[in-house]
Amino acid sequence: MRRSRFAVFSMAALTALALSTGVLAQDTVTITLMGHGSSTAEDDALNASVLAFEEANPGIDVDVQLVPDFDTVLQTAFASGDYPEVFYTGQSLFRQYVDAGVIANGSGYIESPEGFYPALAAVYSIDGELYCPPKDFSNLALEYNTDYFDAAGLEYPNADWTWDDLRAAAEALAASGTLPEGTVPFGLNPDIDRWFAFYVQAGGTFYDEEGNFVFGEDANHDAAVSALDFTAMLTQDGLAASSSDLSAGWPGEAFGQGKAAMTMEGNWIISYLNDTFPDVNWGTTELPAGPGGEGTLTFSEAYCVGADNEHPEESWALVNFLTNEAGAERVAAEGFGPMPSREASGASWIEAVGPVGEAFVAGGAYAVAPVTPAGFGEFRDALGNGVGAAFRGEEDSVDVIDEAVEVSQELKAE
Amino acid sequence: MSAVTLEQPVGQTSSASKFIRRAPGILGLLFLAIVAVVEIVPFVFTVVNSAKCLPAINAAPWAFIPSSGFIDCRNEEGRPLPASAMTSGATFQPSLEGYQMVIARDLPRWFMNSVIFAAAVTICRILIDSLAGYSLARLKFPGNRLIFFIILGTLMIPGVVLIVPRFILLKQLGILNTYQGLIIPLAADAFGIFLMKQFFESIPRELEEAAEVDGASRLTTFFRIILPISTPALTALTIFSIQGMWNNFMDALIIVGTNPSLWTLTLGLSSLQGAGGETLIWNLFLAGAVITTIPMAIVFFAFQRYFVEGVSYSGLAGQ
Repeated sequence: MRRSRFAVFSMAALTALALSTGVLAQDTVTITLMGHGSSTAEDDALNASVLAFEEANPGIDVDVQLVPDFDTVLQTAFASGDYPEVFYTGQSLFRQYVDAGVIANGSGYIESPEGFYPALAAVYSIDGELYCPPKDFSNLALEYNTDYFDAAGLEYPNADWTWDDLRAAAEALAASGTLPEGTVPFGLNPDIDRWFAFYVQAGGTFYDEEGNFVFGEDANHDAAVSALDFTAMLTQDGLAASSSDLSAGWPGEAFGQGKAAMTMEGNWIISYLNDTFPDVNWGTTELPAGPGGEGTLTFSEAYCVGADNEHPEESWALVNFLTNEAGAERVAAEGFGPMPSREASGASWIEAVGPVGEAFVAGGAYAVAPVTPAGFGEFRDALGNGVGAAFRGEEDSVDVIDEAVEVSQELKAE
Repeated sequence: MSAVTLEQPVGQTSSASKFIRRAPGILGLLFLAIVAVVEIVPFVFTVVNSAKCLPAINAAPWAFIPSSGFIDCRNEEGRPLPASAMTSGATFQPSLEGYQMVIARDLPRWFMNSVIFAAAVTICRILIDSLAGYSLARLKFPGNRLIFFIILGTLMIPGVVLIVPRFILLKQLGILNTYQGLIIPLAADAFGIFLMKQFFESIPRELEEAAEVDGASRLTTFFRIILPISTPALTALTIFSIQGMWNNFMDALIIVGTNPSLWTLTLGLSSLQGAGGETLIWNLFLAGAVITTIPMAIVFFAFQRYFVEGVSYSGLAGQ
């Protein structure tokens, strides 16, 4: 008797628990937008945009969820089969998510896709079909300390620079004797997400027309070797040094602390230098061109719509609202670090952040995303270690590239 | 005979042999001092840098002597002051900017959630783990040993494996993003049950028999006789539970991560990493870290003796 009463009690408790959070019938549709938090100003701007969308679409409620450790939360939701209608996707995870079948194909739904930077659209396209409209992006540019260039009596770097000009300026800075003790002309890490820019400038490509990863293969071999030779010589001749050699956390910090006269970082360095090193005088220009022409790297995110989705219409309406021409203009006008993904809004963004923004926007015309295929961690490690060894003069450029290509081919064969 | 041989070196004491006899002790102290420095220095710099302006942290992270008086990090136009205005050598001008920012970012709420979470889980665990441990230690029922081994077996399953199934189950129950969703799955744990069972088995049966003779029921015996003499085990359980829940990140992330009003300190702290967009606002982040650490430091100093007892009692250095 006592036992059955307990059973009844526990059943009742469980039922009450389940009912306590039961969903009431609603006329409006609720869709979830999940992403990671950004700066307070950026989060506020996103919430304001979403509010404007809800006002324009009375039938749709948007639940904005900005979560810590976003990738883990999103991947848990994927694994459970019940995931948000709209979510951020970074460029390195895009293909993995498409392969997992969680991203809906946006071709036919995305408003005026031709307005996005072609390089950005390419990152989120498969077989020419755009899956996710890019949200915003950052490019690498060359930052220089104007005081150091003035002291050495040198012209500031400009967009017409080539590798030879970079090297000549670095030599002139070093020879001028005007740099403070321990300051190098160029802050450069053996990090493949920086070094790939030189590879692209040397004419190297990442994918062929069939979408195969072709780093360092055939015609790309010479490009890879010349890029590594050029950067390794800068380091070995004492013209460039890594942030750890300069006792800094990253090259941007070394630059801010005055330990490097030039460095190459992305949009994120603007607010960093303004907030952290307000007394440093600096300018930006496009990265120098190499034997293969101009080249820079781009880092971006997109809004993707979930494939398993009860409200695709409403989801695309939201995504289009955030990324169409008006949406891009709203992003631009706020002047956050990352740039709007549409070419037409570049000018408004420069107006908001000031002239240092020009070089970043200009790079959008020819930027390439350094995306390696899913499961290529081993390749990235092998190349990263090799680039480090070549910078230190411990390994020959040709050997480093050959080894990395070998790893890449083994991974492709799997 | 042997005693005489041992005495002999002492008789001919030279300063060198004195040193050799003391060397192990001195080396041990030296080693401990190095370990203490390695452990304490990062904590000191967390506290010190949390009270600096952002430019000062980057320009002089090692400056550790505060000069008197707090300063504002920005001038009247809202531009940050240069580092040269706030550090010189090992001294720096302290600022409360990091603490003001972290409090503005909902830290009091995260703090309250952490307290609720840690306290509720700990109370549940004390009750459920001790009742379960007592049942397994003393009550004879079919499957007693089997149940015990199943409970013990769950200790062998790595926590990450359970994340997705737990997420799905809580979603089905409709208690994701609620306090109960965060508390119920953690309200009992295998380690605690095991700890309590082992302890109860060490209590002489005669105590309970005496109570039974006096007409006490099982529950009365348990609450009136057994629990009051179980403080060593209960203290160990409490400490491990509070410590574990205060620092819990993964469960909280999966269960309440999408609802900022239920974030605990660990989730809030993690969200601060992105608070500056692409710039890490060190003073904000470190101020959050200091406020997160202080309660645990207080618990530790208040219960230091029990901590050591708890560890030696359970034979485990935390769970």
